[in-house]
Amino acid sequence: MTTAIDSGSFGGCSIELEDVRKAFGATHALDGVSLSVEPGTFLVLLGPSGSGKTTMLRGLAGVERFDSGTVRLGSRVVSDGRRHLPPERRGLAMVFQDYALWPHLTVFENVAYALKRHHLDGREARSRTMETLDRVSMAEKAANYPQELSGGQQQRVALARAIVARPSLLLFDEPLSNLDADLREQLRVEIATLARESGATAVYITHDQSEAFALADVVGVLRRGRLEQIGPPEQIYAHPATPFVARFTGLSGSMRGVVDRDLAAGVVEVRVGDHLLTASARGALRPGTAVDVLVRPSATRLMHPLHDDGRDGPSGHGRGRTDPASPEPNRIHGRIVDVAYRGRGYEHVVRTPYGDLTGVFSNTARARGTDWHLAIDSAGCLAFPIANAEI
Amino acid sequence: MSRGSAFLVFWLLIVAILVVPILLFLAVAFSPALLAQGPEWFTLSAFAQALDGQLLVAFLDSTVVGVVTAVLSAAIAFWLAWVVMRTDLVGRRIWTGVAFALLLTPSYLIALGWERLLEPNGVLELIGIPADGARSVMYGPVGIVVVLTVKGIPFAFLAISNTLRGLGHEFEDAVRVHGGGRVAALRIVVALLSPGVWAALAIVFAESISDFGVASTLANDSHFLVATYSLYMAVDSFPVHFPVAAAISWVLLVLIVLALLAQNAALKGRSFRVLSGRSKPVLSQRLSPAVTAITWLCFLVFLLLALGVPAFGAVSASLIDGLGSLAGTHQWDLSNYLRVLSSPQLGDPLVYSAILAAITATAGVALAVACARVLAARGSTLPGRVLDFILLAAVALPGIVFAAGYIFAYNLPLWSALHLQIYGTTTLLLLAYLATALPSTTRVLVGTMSQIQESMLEASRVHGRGPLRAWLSIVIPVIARPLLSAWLLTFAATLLELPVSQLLSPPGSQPVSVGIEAALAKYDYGGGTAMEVLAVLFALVVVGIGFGAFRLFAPAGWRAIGRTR
Repeated sequence: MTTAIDSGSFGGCSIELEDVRKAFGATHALDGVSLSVEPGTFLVLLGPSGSGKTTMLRGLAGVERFDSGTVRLGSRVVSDGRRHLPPERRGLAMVFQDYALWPHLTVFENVAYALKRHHLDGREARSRTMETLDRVSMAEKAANYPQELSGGQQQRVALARAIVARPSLLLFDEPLSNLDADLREQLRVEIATLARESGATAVYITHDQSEAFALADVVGVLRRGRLEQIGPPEQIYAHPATPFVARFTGLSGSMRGVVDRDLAAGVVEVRVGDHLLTASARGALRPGTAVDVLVRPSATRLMHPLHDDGRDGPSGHGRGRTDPASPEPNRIHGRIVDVAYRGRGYEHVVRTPYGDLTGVFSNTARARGTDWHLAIDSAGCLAFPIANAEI
Repeated sequence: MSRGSAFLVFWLLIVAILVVPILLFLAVAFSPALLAQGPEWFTLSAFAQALDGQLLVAFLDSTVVGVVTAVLSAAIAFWLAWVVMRTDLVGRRIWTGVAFALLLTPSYLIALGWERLLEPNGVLELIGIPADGARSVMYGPVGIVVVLTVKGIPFAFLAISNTLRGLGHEFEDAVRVHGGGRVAALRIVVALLSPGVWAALAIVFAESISDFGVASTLANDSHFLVATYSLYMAVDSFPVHFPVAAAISWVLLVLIVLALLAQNAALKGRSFRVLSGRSKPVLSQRLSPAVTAITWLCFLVFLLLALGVPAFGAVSASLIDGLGSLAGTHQWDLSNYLRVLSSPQLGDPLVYSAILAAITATAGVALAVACARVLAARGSTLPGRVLDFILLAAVALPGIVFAAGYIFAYNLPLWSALHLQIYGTTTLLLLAYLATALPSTTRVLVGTMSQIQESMLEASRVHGRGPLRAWLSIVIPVIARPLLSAWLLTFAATLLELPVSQLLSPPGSQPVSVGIEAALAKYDYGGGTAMEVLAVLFALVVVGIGFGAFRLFAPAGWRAIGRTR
């Protein structure tokens, strides 16, 4: 029998995917994905539903079979279209979205089950199991059955089951999606620390960009079965490769405009209606090019109210007006149409002549129906040529 | 065995035990020459015979009995289900137990219990109670409807209580908070329950018109013609009228299909699924002491008629020496039981049936797990749809049609030529038992199989188990309790099965139901009923041992699943 990859040892395995494809009938779930991950990396695959992330994870686990393409875990080819190493021989572990704990086994037995492949002697298996349960604060519940635990406790047990055998690859299938906000954050921290302590390579899938950025060393953004961009979270956020990546990683809104001039160093000035906005150019943009300006929430700031006379105070008309009070670049105006308290402050929805901007933050609440000057930081403004701009 | 060859073996078995016998048999109605049953390649003469004279009367009788039985069963079951699911009546769980006891009791045993009590020189007359009046009522359509209603109630109860279980209290609450009164709320509840009620009507109608147990006992003895007994006579006479029997089967099938169509039309595509899901548990209605007393009184009357009278009839008859014959002392003693236990003619059938029932239950459950897995597969697969259709058709077919199909299909000269002659052997009887049990056993397990999260199996694979070990270590323990229930249900049903046994038992070996009938036919009422009582007791003991052993010896985790779900 073939041994599992690096089984029993600490440390992760590298992952290499070459042109991996998988179709379900006429639907291409994965349409030629290639990527390479260093050992010990925490990779988060981010994408909306239907993007292929679950198929990718299940294919890595071996419970799904890729149609073609090569998958290497460490030095070993586990799938190449003809060969398919079954999941039990890949030496990995997985945390499932629905926990997938076995209801006829106690918490202890669920975790110990994953150790059986190593044929440890009873005492060692017991101590390793209890040690791992202790690590996830579930030692006291060792004798309980899964159905006697809360959702958060069940997911802790699933986490213990995944790490107890010290696999070289840990897979996470949206493990936090069934939990409430508080538990999500607690478990997120545990997953991040436990995965890194173990040294295993981790692949985690989610559709939540904040979860992805909080956990990942590397984020891969998937869309319609293709990998749109892969890189560190900071790079993905600051330099999204496509409008889709920009939108999926958090936008306040977008506006249509035309490049006015090239300011060099990848920055352009874009005319949006009567306003000028400086923006980071995504691609080669020449003056006259039609662009979509995508605005990050962090780039927006409410400045001061706009008056009836066009200078200060509330206005009866928010839409379609030029803003003589702010002729300088990166200033527009708009009307507050909604305000939401977020604990640390307030997020506003501002209706501008060029579309709505959401998530506009302020420490104080601004009244609905009032008109405001709005500053837009050029660092959070991304100009994409319109040909590439559609979602 | 590879996945492909296992798949092939599975489908060959399904085709051999279900598809071929039924299709060949039904084809003979149109084309006797096709299988050497007459000169015509296409004719409707068998239908002309089936729908003429006495046979037509039999169909009309069956239809009327079916409709009346369905309505009565659904009404009584609705009341039972409401009390069990919606009130806090003390001891209401006993009612569910009674429903299951009725499910396990074949209709011929219920009918025989009534007969032993009411027949001339029966138990009542022997103890000095005149039975003429009751006999004239029960020996005829009324008695047949009573027995079939008793037998139909558990089916209707299951259909209606399943719907009630899924019906949360929020629907009534929604009516009340939006200004509707109690009556408006009740109307909504009744409308929401209509899928269950219609399912109950359709199931009981189908069960009633395809019933053979009452047809061969009470109906036959009271000369009330029904369709299933006419079918039996066509197959069991000399010369055998296969085309006529097949035509009768077609008409029975059409009646059942009409019932299902009526159910569909009444529901306009609504299904149970609408009602299940996230419904909140309901609050039990609190019953006053007076209402509790009246409800229990009604239940006791029902219990008396459903189980008490036939059980008393059977038990008391079995304790009267020489009942039915002029010989014997007609004293109350245990001589009939001693005779059954010492005489091979009476005792052997029980042993023979027990062995066959155990084999059928084991093979049936194994095959039903495979079928249920195909049916429960995610998405709608072609094999799933085909199998679903075959099993549905098999549920709709009376057991007597199965048996006739088996006689026909496995008595063809082709089998002798192939040296595969299994007609007249225990093997054929076993295959027919298996085919009869498979549809219902599969239905019992399909709900359980579809509740198994695929991820539990995947988690086992990912954490180091191969496919077989993953199944044995995860799926089998999780479904252990439903598997045991399915095994015991199949065992009890096969042990006491009548129509297939009647037509297919091999020469020299009698199943217990045939043994009972044979003893009764020889006017050995005491011996026959003693056998009957012993067979039922044996089934109950096996069921008790099965559940008791599970409770005592199954690992705690296996038991924990049923308890906490």
